Amino acid sequence: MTALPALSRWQSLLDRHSTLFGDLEDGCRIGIARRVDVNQPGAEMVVWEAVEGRLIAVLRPFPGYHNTGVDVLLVGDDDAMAEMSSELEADALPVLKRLVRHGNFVCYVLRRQCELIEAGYEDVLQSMGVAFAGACR
Amino acid sequence: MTKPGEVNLPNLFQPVEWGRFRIKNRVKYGACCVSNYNTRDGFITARELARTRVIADTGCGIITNQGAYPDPLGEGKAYFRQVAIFDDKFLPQFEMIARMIKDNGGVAIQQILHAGRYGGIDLGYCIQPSIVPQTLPHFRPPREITKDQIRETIKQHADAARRSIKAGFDGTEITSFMGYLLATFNSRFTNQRTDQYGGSVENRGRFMRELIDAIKQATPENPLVVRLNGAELMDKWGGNSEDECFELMQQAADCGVDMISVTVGWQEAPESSIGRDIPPGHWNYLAERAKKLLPTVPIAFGQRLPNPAMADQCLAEGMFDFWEVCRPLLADPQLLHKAAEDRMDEVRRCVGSLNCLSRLFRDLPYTCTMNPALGHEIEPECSITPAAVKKNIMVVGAGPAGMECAVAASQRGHTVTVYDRSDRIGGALFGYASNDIANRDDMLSVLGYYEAMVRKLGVEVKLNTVVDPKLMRELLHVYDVAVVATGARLDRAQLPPTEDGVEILAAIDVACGRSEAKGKVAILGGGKIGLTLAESLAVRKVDVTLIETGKRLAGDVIPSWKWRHTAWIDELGIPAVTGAKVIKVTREGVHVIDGRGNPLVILADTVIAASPSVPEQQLIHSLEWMVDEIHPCGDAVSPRGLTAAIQDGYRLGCRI
Repeated sequence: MTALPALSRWQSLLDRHSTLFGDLEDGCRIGIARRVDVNQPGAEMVVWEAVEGRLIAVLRPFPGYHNTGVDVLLVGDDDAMAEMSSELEADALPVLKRLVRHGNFVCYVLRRQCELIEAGYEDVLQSMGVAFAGACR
Repeated sequence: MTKPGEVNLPNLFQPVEWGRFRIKNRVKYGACCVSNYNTRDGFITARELARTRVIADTGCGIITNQGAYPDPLGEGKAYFRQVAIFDDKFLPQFEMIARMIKDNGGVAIQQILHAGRYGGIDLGYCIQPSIVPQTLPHFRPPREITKDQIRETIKQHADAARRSIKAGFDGTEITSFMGYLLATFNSRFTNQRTDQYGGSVENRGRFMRELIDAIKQATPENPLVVRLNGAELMDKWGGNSEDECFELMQQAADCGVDMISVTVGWQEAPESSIGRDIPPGHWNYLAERAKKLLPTVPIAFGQRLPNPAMADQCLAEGMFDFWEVCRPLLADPQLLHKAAEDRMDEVRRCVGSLNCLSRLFRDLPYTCTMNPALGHEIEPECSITPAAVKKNIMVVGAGPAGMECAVAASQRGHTVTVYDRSDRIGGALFGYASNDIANRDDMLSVLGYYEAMVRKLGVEVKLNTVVDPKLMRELLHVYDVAVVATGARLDRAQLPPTEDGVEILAAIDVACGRSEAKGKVAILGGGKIGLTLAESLAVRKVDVTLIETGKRLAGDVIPSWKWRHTAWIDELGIPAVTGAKVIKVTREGVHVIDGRGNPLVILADTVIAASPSVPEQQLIHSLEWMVDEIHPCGDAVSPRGLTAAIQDGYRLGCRI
């Protein structure tokens, strides 16, 4: 079972892509959790939190899908976590996008589309492969 | 008397017994789409009744009326203008619908649709077995359904079933299609309960079994159909495997359901299920597996199986018992009649654009790309009625707008001649259909339909003929009406400057094979035209780059296809520069300033422009003093695309 990568490694990724995340309003939060941790007591997630124009990686409790306190939650299977972990120092965002597209990461949206767009999420979610395309394919 | 097509499709048109009913053929009209034509509080409107009259006349042996939500609060309501069946006050219109279906010799089934995860559209929340957040932001945040609410919901379904029978329906249907409430209980993805309704497949299926039992008790004399996924396409997200889906089917069968309708996919599934990128027949194996598993339970199936001949073959092979059709009958409500009369060349095929669903998820009434009358059946001005004054009409341009107008006008009794400077009909559609990597046969079928119809109606088509003032002087006073359906053209005035001797090709010329893309290719414009061409070139191993001035690709693409194009761009490895300002085009390639302000040169041997386009309207002014009536139509009014072209052409044809 792949553990969540260390915060310093996430922070390095966020800093490399600071331009992409620059539009996010302060207080925006994107959570990343492991599927095996859903409903596991004491589980944790990595949260990318917008603070004064910069995304900061922090560790927060992951209470399952209740009261996550994030706007967007990416929940990955073990393959996804392993691949992300091995790519974090490289070009990890396209990898994340591919893993979302292939279903290894499920991207949950906990705010309405208009709220996300107003909060500056449009480019970020696009880069993650989350198209607000609507339903029924 | 047996009709010629019935001989060719003997299984499809074979009458069968279903319980106490004798069904006139083996076709079930599937309740695939909620129309969104009704009142905000769930009453059926005159618009809906007019539409249902058309459905009742499709000739299907079984007709399922669209899903009605069963609860007064509207937790089950998925669409703003969905019909309700939680009270007897709604019954008069349901009675009319049941009567319409039966008067046409059909068995009438009412679907009860509690949308669960996709419901609560007016409430700001939805209910489901466990709190699993939405993946599509269109839908409402979830609340966990309590055991008391489960009991109440089951009772509401049973009451709705009783009410349906009271209205005159022969049976009812419940549905787990696409992730509705029943599906959310069945699926591991959304059911993470730890009580008797969650955990094992046996427990997850408990809600379904109780639901079936309650409805069977409420309406013991009437059949109950249950729609169940053969594949959710959610297994990567932790949803059910196909094996689990079939375990649930077995449970439904053990509860005594009278028919299982096998479906595929959830609204939010990360892969296609019903678009034209799925080849016809792709999901047949699921129906076949259901039939093998449950040989005594009637199985209905039709997902991405749009062709009556294919369906007839499947029936012959015992793959399923009823062909369940919806979208092909939206595109052409006369499909079955035409099949029976061996007039399949006159069928408007569903092209899988999913315009219907794109509209629903924008809270609009559904319409159909191929059937411009759909949803407007109640409006006489959108119907083919005999023309009060028979006119001699010239249609300039044999694209979809012109051809649609020609067909409609001819059906009304006008004499119509179509002119086109090209050597074939189709206009721009021919080029883009030929490059559609999803399913070019579907798109090219649009042209096949027009060819068949002009032949049947005696519309003269003059190809390789340029209509200009010189020709018009020769034709002076021949025509009463000119329809200018000359489409759109590339607006070269807006193209970037080019180095001497460097030419920018028009996308339409490349798409139609009039110009050739050589070497490395750069395409200016990342909308639907540029994307379609880029994808087609990439499939042929051409090195192609997209350059888009807007922030994003696919800006003009229909919502239900946007994700598909963006995924293809990634899968095919097509580089895209967005937010780009094009400075100039040289022999080296395209010089741009990218979205971050960096100068770039996109190396290219061939540069193609897919945009901007402008309406081709010159002829309108040229003809002004030569013909009594002149009407622009389709992209010649404003460049929009296939759906608008067909709508414009039809409406104009109905009006002249």
